Amino acid sequence: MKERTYVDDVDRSVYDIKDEENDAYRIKSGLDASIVEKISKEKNDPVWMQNFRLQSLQIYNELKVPNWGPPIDGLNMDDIATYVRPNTRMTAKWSEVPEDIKNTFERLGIPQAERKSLAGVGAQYDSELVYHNVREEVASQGVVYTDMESALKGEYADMVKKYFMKLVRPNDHKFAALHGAVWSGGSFVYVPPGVSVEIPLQSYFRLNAPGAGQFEHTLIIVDEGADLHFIEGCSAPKYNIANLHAGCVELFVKKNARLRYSTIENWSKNMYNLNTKRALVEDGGTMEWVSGSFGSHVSYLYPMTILKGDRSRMEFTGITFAGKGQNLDTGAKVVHIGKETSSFMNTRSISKDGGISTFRSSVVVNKSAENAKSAVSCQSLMLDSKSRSDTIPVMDIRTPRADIGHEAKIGRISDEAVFYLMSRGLSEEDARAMIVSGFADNVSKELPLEYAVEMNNLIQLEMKGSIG
Amino acid sequence: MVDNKDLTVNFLPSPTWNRLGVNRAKIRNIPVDGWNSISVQKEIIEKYTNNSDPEIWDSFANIQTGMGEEIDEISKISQPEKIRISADKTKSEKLFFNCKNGENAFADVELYAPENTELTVFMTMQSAWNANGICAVRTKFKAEKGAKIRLVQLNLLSQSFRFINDVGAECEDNATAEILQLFIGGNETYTGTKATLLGRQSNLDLNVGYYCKDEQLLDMNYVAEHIGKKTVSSMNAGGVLRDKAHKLFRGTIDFPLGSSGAKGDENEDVLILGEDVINQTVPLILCAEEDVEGNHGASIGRPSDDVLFYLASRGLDEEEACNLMARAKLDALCSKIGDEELETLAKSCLEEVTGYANEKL
Repeated sequence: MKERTYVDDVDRSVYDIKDEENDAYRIKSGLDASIVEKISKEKNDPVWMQNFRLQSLQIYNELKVPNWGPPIDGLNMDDIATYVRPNTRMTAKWSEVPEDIKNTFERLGIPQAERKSLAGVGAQYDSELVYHNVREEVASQGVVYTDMESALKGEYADMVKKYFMKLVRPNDHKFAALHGAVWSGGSFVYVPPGVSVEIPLQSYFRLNAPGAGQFEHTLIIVDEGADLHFIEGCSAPKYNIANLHAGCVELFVKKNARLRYSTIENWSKNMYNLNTKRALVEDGGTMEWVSGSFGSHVSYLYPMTILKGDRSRMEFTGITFAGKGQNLDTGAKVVHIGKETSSFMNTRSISKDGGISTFRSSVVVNKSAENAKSAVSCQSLMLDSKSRSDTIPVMDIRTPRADIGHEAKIGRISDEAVFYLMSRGLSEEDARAMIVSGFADNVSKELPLEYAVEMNNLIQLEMKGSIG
Repeated sequence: MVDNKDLTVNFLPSPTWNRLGVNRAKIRNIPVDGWNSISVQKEIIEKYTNNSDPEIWDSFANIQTGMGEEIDEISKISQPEKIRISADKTKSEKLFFNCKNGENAFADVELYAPENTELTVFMTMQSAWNANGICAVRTKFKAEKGAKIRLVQLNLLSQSFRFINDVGAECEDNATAEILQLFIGGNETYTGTKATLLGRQSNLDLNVGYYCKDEQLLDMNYVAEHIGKKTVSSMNAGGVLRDKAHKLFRGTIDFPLGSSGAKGDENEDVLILGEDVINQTVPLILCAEEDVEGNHGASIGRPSDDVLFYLASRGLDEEEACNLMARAKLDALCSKIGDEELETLAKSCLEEVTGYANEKL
């Protein structure tokens, strides 16, 4: 009897290595005003931030959990510690990072990647950055890449105050409000006008503490005519209790600037990933998202782009791999406001072994967005009938002068494609493996080589059984 | 005095962001009394009275419809006599629902095609040009093994009428549900269709056309549920939006576990010709079965530059070209009606509404 193509789970062994909990400070679990005030005090927040956190908490308490996505009943905020400070201070030298934390990041390949192919690296461990460094030649161009806490209090304090949670407001949804109340860590990037950062910056987020939340805030401003590629990686070891990630990413792409934001998300399968990402793009600006979602127990992840400026554009390329015990609700949102704006979403999802993958999107074209163009293409591959794959796109078009296209396909590995490849001399195993890996190709080809290799390692294909 | 009621209908089978306002529709201010039955030709009622086993008709209560359960409220209030039509071999009937000014009326229609029979029913909803009121129609049909039911619905009501149109279909092995709907009239139209493809190789062929102008609202919800193996659904919607028209199309292909070998296609092609139009399109595919094939596509906007250039080379300016495209889109659907009298009627109504458009252009 012929056995079906077997696609292995994401190999998580390297991510699942746990460090002994050796925190300097862990706030008590739960969420109330005293906890939020304590975080503010621990972080020595300016007054406006103390007030902002408390207002956000109030909004959090008023908002309901979403009634449209995957269930998040297993997440109980009373069991989540919202702030865990590792037993170290942030440094710009790997040698000064404590041995156990350093070993973790070395296993994840962060220092090696920094030496080989990155312009700067930030490494967050639980709630705080433990390492942050940027190459001298990049810093000398005026590029600022620092941790959010330093930015909040240092010479960029006014800039942070001007932009912080202005794009993702706390009343946007319940978990944006939660983020506003308890955020800590994250990176601040400013690229001055006309500066092109030739090699990427990367922030890596590692959550080691069980029953904890990570709420990093990433704020990037790419000024007029500037260019940046920013890479974000995340992982955590698996525990039997729920962990929570409710980060927030705010991206400001100024006139004629370009920002590529790549994410390889590989949280553990006890993680609730309720992350919010949003970009505001001005005249002639370009926003490119590359997103690989492999981990988490439940994900709500829909990077949103607001094409405010005329001729601004966005591209979203994403892949989601949902395996056993995972319910990954991913996609993208775009709002066209400026004239002659364009957007393109190209996504792939794979469901296997009981995994649930949902592609959710919205394309909103306002009346002002004359001559806007938008195309959405999503393809889903079902590898067995224990799994589920849904496609839920919405288009809301309010101008006659727009050109909107949408296509979606759902299905299994095509017998015709296998037959064709076999007629070219491939074995059935090789043909099926080639089709599945080719299915993910849209994302891997958009990543720098090192990360494409990493992503391909994440999806390991294994063929077994007799054929024919 | 009892207050009017709001009905919540057209639920998206898998909801999405609430702020987009597409998860459901609310029909406001439905009167809670004073409903009549819509009168149809008396001879049709008489012809079909007691013509089938009562148990068959009892089973219609379980057929799910596209608009949801709250439509029952209207049925309870108006308690209409059911219009039941069944086929023997091949049958074709034309129902004319003539809605009167100021009247709120409901028709409850049940269609039944026994094994290997074919039934075609044409429904034409019409009123005087200046009449207003509410016309509500619920149609349930069941096609047994190898049977085919063809339902053609033409909404030619006045621009002041509210139209509520709820359809539910069940198909057994190798049965076919063929549905054609044309929406021209009514200032507010709420329509929902659910086809449950129970039997192996049963299929749904749905074609929908609309022409909305002024402040017309058209709220649609179509669901093809593939229960049986190797079932096939095809949903094609398309139309024209002008002025301040608002159209919301929800189309869902649902492949539950066990629907292996099923195929579903849906497509919407919208021509937007008004500055203040709102067009919302929500095409869902829900899939819990590996061995299926689902596709959806949507194309929204004005005619492409290539088409406009070609038509300009033939002497048509942009507005004339758009108008021509609008007519062509709906004329193609009219030609599928399959009844000369109704085709002529639909085309003349279209001429009337697009003629208005011509004046505006």
